[in-house]
Amino acid sequence: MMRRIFLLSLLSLFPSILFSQESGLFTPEKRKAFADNLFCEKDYLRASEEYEAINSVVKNDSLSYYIGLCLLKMNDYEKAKDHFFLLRNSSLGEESRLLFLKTSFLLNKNVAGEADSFQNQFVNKDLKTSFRRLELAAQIKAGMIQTNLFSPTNDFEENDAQILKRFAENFSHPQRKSPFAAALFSAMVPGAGKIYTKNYGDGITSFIVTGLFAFLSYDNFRAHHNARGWIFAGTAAFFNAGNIYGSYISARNYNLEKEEELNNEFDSFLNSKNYFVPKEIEGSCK
Amino acid sequence: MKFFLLSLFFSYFLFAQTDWQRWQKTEINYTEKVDNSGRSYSLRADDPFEFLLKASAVTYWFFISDVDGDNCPFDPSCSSFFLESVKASNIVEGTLMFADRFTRDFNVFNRNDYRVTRKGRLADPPEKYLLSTARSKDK
Repeated sequence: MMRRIFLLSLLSLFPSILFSQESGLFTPEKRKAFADNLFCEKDYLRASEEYEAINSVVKNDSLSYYIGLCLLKMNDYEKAKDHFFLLRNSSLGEESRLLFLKTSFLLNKNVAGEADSFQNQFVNKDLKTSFRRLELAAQIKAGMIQTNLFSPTNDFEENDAQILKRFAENFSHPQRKSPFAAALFSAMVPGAGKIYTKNYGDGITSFIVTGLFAFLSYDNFRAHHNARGWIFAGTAAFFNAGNIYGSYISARNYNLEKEEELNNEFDSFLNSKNYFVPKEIEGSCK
Repeated sequence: MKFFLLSLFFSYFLFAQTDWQRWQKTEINYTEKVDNSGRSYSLRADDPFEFLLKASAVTYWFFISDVDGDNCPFDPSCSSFFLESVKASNIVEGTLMFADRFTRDFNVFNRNDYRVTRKGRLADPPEKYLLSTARSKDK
């Protein structure tokens, strides 16, 4: 019995040796297939490592392009931008140029200059359209397009054109509050500058606090309590000076907030449209 | 099997409630713990003016603020805000920033305009109000 079991287990070893793992597991083709799989699984870090490893053995534009895509997907825009810039004249030049502009846009860089240098370097009709859309978006963000000059071309759908027109209007004529006007208003009427910058609560508080101390000062001077009168006058002046300064800063902060708000709104719109870049050029997965 | 049951029996006794850790009445302390970890009571300063400023702030903390309790809703507190703003700018700008902060402290309806820190206070750093700063994120 024991002999039989021994024989059987010995025999069972043979097929596993016969069908053992074949050599050549790390051939560039297999690694590429593995890297593509990782890319489609959205494991961009490991995918880029695999592409890098193959690229060090077999230099290939497509591999470099995919490394750039991984960096882009991992939000490492600086490195992705450099990567696509190096590929601008390669076999994937058109796609790389477009993605270079996209990464520049994501980095909030001035795309206008870079767009000019790529102006006539697109042959593919779709990519050319995407480029024009992205270029226009960049001009809108830079506030370079006046609404009256804005004419939505055939590049945009009617709905998108309307949205872009509204953005162009907001970027070229941003809702701004003058810090000097705010300070001046507060100097005239305590708290008026803050109300001007829509800081209603702080404005009313400033008015009450300064007004209260000013009244106390007046009342004490009237009752010939000069020392107390001066103390309250000083306190009122102290609060009003702070209020004038605060109104100036409040207007500046208001402008910064509005600017940031508009930029975020515009970016999320462009993000929803994938920055007008066709999805296929960002790696196609089944 | 016997051995296993025996060891189980003894381990049960090992973790049984002990006599020396009985439930008992404890003194309850209702004093609110004041967290002053952000304050530096050191009087070390680079110049006599800074020393004077710090000395007055520390005196205020020691005799008034610490005794009065944790009342300022902001982070940093108004006194710390004053010290930090003078350090970040100059005495004139710092004083103006402090006067503005003091007025905003009076307004109890603006509490939702500020980000709340981990300590549960309203984030209001002096950097937001400096003339040289060009960013405002917290408010």
